[in-house]
Amino acid sequence: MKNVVVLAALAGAAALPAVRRTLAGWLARAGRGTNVRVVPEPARRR
Amino acid sequence: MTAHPQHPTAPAPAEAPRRAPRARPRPTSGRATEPTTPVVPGPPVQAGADWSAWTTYDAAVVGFRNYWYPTVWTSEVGDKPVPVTVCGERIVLIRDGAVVRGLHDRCPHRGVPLSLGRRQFPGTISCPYHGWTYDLTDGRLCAVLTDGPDSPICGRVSVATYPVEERFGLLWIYIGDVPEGEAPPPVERDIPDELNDNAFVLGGRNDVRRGNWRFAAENGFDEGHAKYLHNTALWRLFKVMPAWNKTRIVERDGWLVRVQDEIHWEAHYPGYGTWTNKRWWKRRPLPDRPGKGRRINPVIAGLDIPGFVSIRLPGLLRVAYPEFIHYEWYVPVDADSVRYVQLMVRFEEGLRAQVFKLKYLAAIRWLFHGQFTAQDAWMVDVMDAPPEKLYRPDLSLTAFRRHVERSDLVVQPAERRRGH
Repeated sequence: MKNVVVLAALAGAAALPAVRRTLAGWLARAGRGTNVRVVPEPARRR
Repeated sequence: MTAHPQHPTAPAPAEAPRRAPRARPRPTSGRATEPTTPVVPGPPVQAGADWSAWTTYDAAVVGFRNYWYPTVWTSEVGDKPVPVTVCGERIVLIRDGAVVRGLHDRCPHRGVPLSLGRRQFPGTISCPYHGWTYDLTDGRLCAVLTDGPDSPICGRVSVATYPVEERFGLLWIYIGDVPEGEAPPPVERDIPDELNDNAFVLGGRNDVRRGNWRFAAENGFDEGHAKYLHNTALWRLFKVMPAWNKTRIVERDGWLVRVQDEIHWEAHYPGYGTWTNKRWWKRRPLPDRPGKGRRINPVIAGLDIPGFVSIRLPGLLRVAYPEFIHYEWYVPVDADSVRYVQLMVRFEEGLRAQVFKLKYLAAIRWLFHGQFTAQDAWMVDVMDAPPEKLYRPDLSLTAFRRHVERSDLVVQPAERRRGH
């Protein structure tokens, strides 16, 4: 029961706009310089 | 009492108290006693070797000329100019339509960085101070906005331009001397062949860290540290690493390759204890070469690399697992900073490539390109050598240094010259 209450509180906090902005900001800063991409075979590049 | 001639109150030498004899006589050579070195007061100083045996390597504080170096992701250069420093050279990257141009980041007028400038006209950059405006294609001063269209200085001043190419979403800059009318070598020369010749998916991280590029390169190729420094990394949580190895270095196609001759999974130290990385939850060891995995990607198998880790000039590490390859470029920024460009590459396309992208963003970026290499960066930041005392596993370091000495390299001047 306690776990359910804690999870519900965390979910509720995550729904708050301020919390979402803080989390998004942290992710953006921590993830700066990150990239993923598919590079095709040489004949199809550029 | 007869006074000593120098000190009126001191007793005469014949009456001075005698010292007790030594309990154990000091062995003598029969020669006269050698003079002792006077003690210099101050903090302790450790003796150790310097880098005088590797003069080119010692001088290469900010790297080597005549190479292409990866810098920022193409997506980082938008409407605003982006300053980068490579091998101590200050460069501004400016988007000009579909291409990105590189110019020396200094207005010749009064030394203001052009990266602070404005895009007043298409195809140009204007210094924010007095509006000196430079053509992006050749760096020529084409207008001086605060001196009118007939400004006599137009056409008499220019800034240096740099060759810039885009490959794999990265911007590569050539640092070197290109004779008038000629082109630099193709950027593919400084990219591993397997990346030029195959399709692949990559996950990458690119940032500037503290420490000299040589420490970063040595750390990457270093045989000894991974088994101790990284045994707390989450990336290694379920993978056993050896306790200690015996290694040799071989050269193959311009790469120096670390080959494991002996692998020891535990070691006993009499009087102290046993040390091992084995734990009940660590399920399988790392392969010591990519061909030893149960499944091996055919592109990686075709490379026929004799060892797990290899390095090549000017500072590129390749760690070849059976199903992917991890690359690290160590790009000199200045004497105390290095750009780490980390790429994890799988030679796959289609759905498998999309799955890898998700896995990279969700986990690999944080565990491997995050915590794991942050441990390396920590050591690169705090290392303070020379002086140094090397040990047996440091043969990887000395092999790289000897490789530098044997190669025909042009060292980038370390001092910042006036006007740069």
